[in-house]
Amino acid sequence: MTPQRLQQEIAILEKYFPRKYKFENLYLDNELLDVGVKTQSGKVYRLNIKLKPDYPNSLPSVYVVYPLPLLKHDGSAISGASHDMHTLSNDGSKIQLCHYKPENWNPNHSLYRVILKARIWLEAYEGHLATGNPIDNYLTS
Amino acid sequence: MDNNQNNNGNKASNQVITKTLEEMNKGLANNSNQLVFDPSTGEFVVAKPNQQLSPDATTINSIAQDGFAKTI
Repeated sequence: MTPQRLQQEIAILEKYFPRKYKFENLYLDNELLDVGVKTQSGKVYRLNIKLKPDYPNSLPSVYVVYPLPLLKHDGSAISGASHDMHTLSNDGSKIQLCHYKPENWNPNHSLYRVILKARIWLEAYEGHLATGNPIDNYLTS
Repeated sequence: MDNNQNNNGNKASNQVITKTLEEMNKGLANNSNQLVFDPSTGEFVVAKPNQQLSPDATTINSIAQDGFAKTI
């Protein structure tokens, strides 16, 4: 990400998520945004949003890094890619979420919108925990 | 003021949020109400038609309805 784009992202994040985020590894290949998110129920999650060097032209990758494991309604852990749960991978230390469709991503979208997208996923996840319905029941594909 | 309300609308319980998301997913959503993120509280709220919202509020409906990727 360019320094100019970083300043734009910081300006938006300061407005909407003040003191809840931190950029790491800036200007390196493994640049990421670490952010804390609280859902409507008051539960706290931590997300890592990984940025490729060509961000914002490329779609960032979103991972839940806390709490882990993320359990399903039946008590088992969410594991691997799942169509019903809108997850892409799980390497044991983080779970990758599906968020923007590549065709709906454009460089004008900010990390703020990615966080909101992940927040919606988390609300759907808590709906799954409460009812047992798959996350797909709550998210438009 | 009711404990479930704030200045920007009706604070939504997590059950209301998931019900709203489910209705949007199934095309049953009542478009007269908007699901909104209020950055002053970090909460989602349900905003009624013509309700005055914070200028910083972000409508969630369009973000949710532009779809979520799935595994192939």
